[in-house]
Amino acid sequence: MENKVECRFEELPNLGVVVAPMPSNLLQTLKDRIFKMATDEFKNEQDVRDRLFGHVDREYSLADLIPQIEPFMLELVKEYGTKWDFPYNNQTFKGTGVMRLTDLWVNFQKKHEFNPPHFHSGVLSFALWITIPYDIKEEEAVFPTISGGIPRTSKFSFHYSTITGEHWSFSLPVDQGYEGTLVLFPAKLIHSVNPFYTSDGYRVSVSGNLKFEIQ
Amino acid sequence: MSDQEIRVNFNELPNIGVLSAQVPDNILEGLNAAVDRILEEQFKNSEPMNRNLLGHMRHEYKLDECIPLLESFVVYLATLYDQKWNWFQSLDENYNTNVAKSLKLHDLWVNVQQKHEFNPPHEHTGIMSFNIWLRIPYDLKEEEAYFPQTSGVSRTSKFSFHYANLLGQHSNFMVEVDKLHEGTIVMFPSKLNHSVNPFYTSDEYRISIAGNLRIV
Repeated sequence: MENKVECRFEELPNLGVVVAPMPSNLLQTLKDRIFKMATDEFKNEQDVRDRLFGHVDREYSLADLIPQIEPFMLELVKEYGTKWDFPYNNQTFKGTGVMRLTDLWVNFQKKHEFNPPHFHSGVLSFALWITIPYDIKEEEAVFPTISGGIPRTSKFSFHYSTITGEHWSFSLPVDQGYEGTLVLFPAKLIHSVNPFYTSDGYRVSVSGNLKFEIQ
Repeated sequence: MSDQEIRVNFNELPNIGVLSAQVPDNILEGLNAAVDRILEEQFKNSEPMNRNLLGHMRHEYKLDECIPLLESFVVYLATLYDQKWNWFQSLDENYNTNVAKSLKLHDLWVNVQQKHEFNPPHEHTGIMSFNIWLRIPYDLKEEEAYFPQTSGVSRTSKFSFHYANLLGQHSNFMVEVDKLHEGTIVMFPSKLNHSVNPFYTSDEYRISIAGNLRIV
């Protein structure tokens, strides 16, 4: 019977996420700025927690670096649009719109802190991992007997509906191999970050939102 | 165009929801006694449930011995749920049975959650599921003050439902679980996604009982 069955599996169209390395020069620019921020003990930095859902004690604006980061992000937006035809032709406003990187900030997440399921303002958003202080195997060993066998400690998860409307999650096992890597996703795609348990260091990530500037 | 000239109707489109109720005292006494025994024995004689659950918690145990105590109450709540939202009828054809008359309490367990532990978004097996809060060790105001700068409402310690609104967008409904919730039950469709955030301000256990009603 095995040889007689011919079938085709069709995945119905949907959007996805782009994972890419950050160019080394831009990554270094961000690291230098973030390192200085920490060595200056975060003095004179703009606290942006009141605009974010993160249950995280330290989140600061990096708006001064937008001019340097924006061109690369716009290139990635083009790649996203080529692959998935998104953002769709501007159906929400008349006239023309130009995509701009409008928000850029850094998250210093400590042990036990978390970011509940949330979405962003804008059209596309991204998260870039700068420093991961834990070993993912040690994290997964904190709760070793989870149903399904894959613990979610420390992980970055997307939450979305399947074609039948069920809610599913897709988790990125963010470890030290993700340092310097970013993920670009639709801003309205729900995502969350679980707590980590095995390090006293900061988990540092940079996030941003891209929006249409209506002209 | 004064207020009096405008007549409008705001129509909420039909959807199902969640039911909450107070658990009868005799049932609470039985559940508390079972939990006290588990705690006194320091979990040594209890059967772990962790491998069947998604909770990131060290202590989750089967409570099969309490099924007879609880079953008729939760099955009754399920019939009330169906009376309100007429939901089981839509399931009957899926299972070729009368769902309302076929539900049994199949799984029952206790979650002994410690500070910093959490339960990520997940769903259950079965048709209807429930959660009973037995002991809440923190003050909700202290929890909410732990991350005071968060945009909007602090979500520490809270039980959240995740669902699609009528536009298909993912939405969130939080149950602000505090000491007043001790002894209350929330019943919901098993496939309704939900999660529990960590708490930070107490070293005591937060204890809840959960279960699934399946077609038997």
